[in-house]
Amino acid sequence: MTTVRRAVGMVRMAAAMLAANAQAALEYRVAFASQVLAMLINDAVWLVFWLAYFGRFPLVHGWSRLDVVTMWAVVGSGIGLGATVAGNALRLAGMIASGQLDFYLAMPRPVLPHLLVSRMDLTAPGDMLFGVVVFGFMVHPGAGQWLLFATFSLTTAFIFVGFTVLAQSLAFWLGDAEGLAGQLWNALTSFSTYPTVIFHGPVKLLLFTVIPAGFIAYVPVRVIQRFAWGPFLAVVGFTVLIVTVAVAVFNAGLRRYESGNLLLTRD
Amino acid sequence: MIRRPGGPWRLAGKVLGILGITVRARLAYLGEMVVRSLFLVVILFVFAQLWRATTAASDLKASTGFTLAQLIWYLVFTEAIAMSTGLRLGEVDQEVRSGDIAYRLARPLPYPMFHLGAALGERLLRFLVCLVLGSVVALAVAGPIHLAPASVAAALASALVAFCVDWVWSFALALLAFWFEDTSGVQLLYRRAVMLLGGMLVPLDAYPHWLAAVSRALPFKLVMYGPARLFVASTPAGLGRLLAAQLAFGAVGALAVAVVYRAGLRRVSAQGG
Repeated sequence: MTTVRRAVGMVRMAAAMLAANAQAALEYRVAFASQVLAMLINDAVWLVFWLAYFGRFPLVHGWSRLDVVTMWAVVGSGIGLGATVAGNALRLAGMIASGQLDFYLAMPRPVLPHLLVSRMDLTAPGDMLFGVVVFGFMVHPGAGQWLLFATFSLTTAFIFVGFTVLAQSLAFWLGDAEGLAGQLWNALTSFSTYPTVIFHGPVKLLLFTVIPAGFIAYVPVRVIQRFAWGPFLAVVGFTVLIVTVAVAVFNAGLRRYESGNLLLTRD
Repeated sequence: MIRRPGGPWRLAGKVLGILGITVRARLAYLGEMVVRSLFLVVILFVFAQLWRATTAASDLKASTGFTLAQLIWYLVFTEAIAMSTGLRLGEVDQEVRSGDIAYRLARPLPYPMFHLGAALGERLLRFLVCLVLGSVVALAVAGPIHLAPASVAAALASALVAFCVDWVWSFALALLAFWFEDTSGVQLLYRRAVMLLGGMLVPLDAYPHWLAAVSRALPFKLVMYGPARLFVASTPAGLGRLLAAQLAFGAVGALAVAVVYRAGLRRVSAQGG
């Protein structure tokens, strides 16, 4: 009962912070709208590239234009959702290194969720919008596929945030880990936005473990096109696993955290 | 009294001075620069796999005019150009927003010229780091190809001009900060135009005919495709035409900078502090 109450409390906090972040963003609505639009166009340019590529080379190891469109839709909406709700995830290493966690340690809410939802990535709603629009207009899904799309957007968001927390938490042990965490994030997004079927052997293993692009891109695409319980449950199971590990690693790192006596307010 | 910037030679000397200082400052953090360039390894690896998978179903040479190894080496050069784009353009936004531009304007060097020197210094160093790193990866994933010394020299010369042209247009967009709160969105769109229409990921020859035609008609190819194609070509043929087109595109951009800068300066009001 306590666990359920805590979970409900966290969801309420996330919703309240999301509303507050959205209101703050809308204070500068022209800048906000232009950033969302720019990200939407950025994603669209990538999609045009892939459409052009598959226009010239119709099949890559059995993957067609529809597979890549579905992949970009799921990855866009999932990562967009994660960065919209938990925009601080990508700043974690810098905050740890500069002693900016003090503010959150003094608050009654659990540190990690509170920290993550305190900021919204202003470009991320553009990714989310792109994913939904592309899925709706280019994949022509049925009701069941919409349900799967929504589910995988959620699992992708959790995997993305979990992975980012793990990478950024390296700062607890390494100090300045911003560069390394940034590179790991780049690797995840890169491997997630190219057809997974082009990778083989140890690299493919890597994509289902250390850099879990397979659970973000490959499996969801396959399940949306032909549903199977096994792969679906594998994605859900991996999501639970990576979030659990990320929380445990962050909490372990937090024990090593030293305050920098930095005077700060929530920015 | 504000000192005059001096004549063109003196001005060029100052720009080179800023360039040299930036290079020396960045050399102090060379390791960090190498780490930040490791993304290049991922991209080259991914594209090597993509082209390999494509080769299994299509004749690359017949479709694009490039062999698989040439495509990878082409990508090394375009990615080195793309990844060497400095992060300094955000500084213009910041300086305009915070009012720090007032201090820069008082210096004995025109504001755009200071940024040109700093941006070129950073870009040249990053480009060399990425080119060396990319060449190592290309050797590992695609093996060596015959690089004609004259073509490589032509590619490097045109890349240097491309850096200036690219900077001029990026700076013109950054100066829009005088009117907007944030120009990062416009910058991103410009980068994506260069990426897609400039042939960053694949040569224009590998695009479907409609996109290749559109890309060839637009000037973005002068920043990426032009120099990178020379890099893998057997002769430096076409260098003269490329340089002339780059200079023309750069001249239009310089005019845009002059107009936007003059108009923007009228909006600056320094109140001390």
